[in-house]
Amino acid sequence: MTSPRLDQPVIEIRDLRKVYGRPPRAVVALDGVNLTIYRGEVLGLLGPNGAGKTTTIGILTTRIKPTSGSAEVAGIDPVRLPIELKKIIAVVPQHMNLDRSLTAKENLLFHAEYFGVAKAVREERAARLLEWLHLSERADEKIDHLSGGMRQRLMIARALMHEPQIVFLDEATLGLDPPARLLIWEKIRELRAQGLTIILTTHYMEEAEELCTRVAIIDHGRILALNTPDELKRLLPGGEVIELEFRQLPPDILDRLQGVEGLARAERDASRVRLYVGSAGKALPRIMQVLDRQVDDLLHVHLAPATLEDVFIYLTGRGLRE
Amino acid sequence: MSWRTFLALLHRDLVVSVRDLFSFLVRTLIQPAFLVVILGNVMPRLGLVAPDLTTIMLPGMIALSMLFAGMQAVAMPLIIEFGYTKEIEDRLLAPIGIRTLAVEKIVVGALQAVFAGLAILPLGVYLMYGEVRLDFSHPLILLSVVLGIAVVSASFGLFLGALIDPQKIGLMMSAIVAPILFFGCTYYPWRGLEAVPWLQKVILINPLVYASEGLRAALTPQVPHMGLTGIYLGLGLSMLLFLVVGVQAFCRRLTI
Repeated sequence: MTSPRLDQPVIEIRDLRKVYGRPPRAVVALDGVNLTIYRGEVLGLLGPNGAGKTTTIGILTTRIKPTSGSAEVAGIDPVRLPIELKKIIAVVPQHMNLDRSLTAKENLLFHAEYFGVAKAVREERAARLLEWLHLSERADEKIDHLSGGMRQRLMIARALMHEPQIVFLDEATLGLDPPARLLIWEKIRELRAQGLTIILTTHYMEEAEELCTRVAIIDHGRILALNTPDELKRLLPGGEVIELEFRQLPPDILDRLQGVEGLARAERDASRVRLYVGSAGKALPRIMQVLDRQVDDLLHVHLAPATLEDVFIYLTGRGLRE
Repeated sequence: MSWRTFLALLHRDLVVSVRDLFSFLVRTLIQPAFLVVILGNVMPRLGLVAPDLTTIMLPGMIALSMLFAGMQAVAMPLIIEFGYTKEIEDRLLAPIGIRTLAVEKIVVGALQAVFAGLAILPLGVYLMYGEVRLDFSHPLILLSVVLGIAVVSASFGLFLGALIDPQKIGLMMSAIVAPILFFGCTYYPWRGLEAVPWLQKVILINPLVYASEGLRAALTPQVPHMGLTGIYLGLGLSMLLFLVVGVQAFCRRLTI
């Protein structure tokens, strides 16, 4: 795998703000975002709906004008030179926007024609990409006859037709079933191995964890943390998480667990406690001891290494499964 | 301006239009053809209208077909793309400016308007009762008027397409299209309206008036018609208005 060139910044975002509408109904979508993305990276923008992910991508891809601050993509300002920038980037959007009047293959061919790719080259490239994304057999079908996963793959193929330097994937696997999602993950990994710079947004934690070299956790228009998935997990007080689900949660549970050795942090909701610990193996017997007779009320014990979801919950301060 | 991208987009739109030819012809020709059958064939046979009506009517029918063909060719896809499919977002990622994209839409619509005019002309002549006396001895007037109508119709389409929501297509048909159709000097020459002076003035806001009268000046100059200055002024002002407002609305709609 080609590793990211951390000495070659390709996207620089400085103090980026975007406000939609006017006061009193103005909505702040980006509230001072700073971010540098390097060549060959797969950078994930991870956050809930409305966090500002799509706005960030919209600005970097020329479709949204920032309210203030600056962005440069491959040295090009998207506001001043949008046409130049569009030549070297590609977008796989959140909403299906394939050309319904054309077949799958024609979608690819015309897209390349818009970008001035020579006829012989676009024919060859379309055939190769359709094959690579398992779409060859459906090449001559209209878009309406393709499944959601196929359309998503076709949009990825379309994005690659003009050989962009940077690809933006906005919620590329939203609403897909697991096999369709896994196939797309596999293809994104292959693109990463080829050294393409990819910026993807997702609100699936496991997607960010699986695919990204670095992840920016974004919420309310701000970047809360930016690092590799492993480093982000180290932000947590303990490396592992124990989740206990009770038939009836003892009201004083957090107090009682307070003194347990190795417990870094504890949270609760109506029926569950979530315990951040250094080592689940060592902590669990002690926790059971403290629980004593209430062990009978225990429905479920879940042990897991910390995930980005835990990091997200930890950083945003939101309770469990809100 | 990126010509290569412009031509590629034009190529795409023409391929799709040709593929869509059958429904284009039905959409464009059915209504004028039926009007011709009733007003230009059945009623003259019954002696209910003057035999001259066929000659008066034909330029109006061509103008009507052109105006609606160009308007629909631009407005309908835009309304759908803005409202539901968002395909326009993909076109906007092509290396082309929003304004140039608007111009491309107008070129496609104008071509379809010209094509509609060419299709309805022989059909009209064939369906009319009796002889229609057409005069092709003013090719420059014909060419300029046809081009003018084509651009007016397509920019009118851009204007409507950028401003109207999909839920309001029905409203657009009855509130905009119907009055244009009836008050467009299609079945009667503008000079004839001297009998109804207020109407003769009010309908001057309708671009179809200049289209019908322009084609009368070009194809049936023997029928009394509006002067060429009025015709060119009317077509020119409608073109300017729809182009400026239409392109602006289109750009505003696509700038976030």
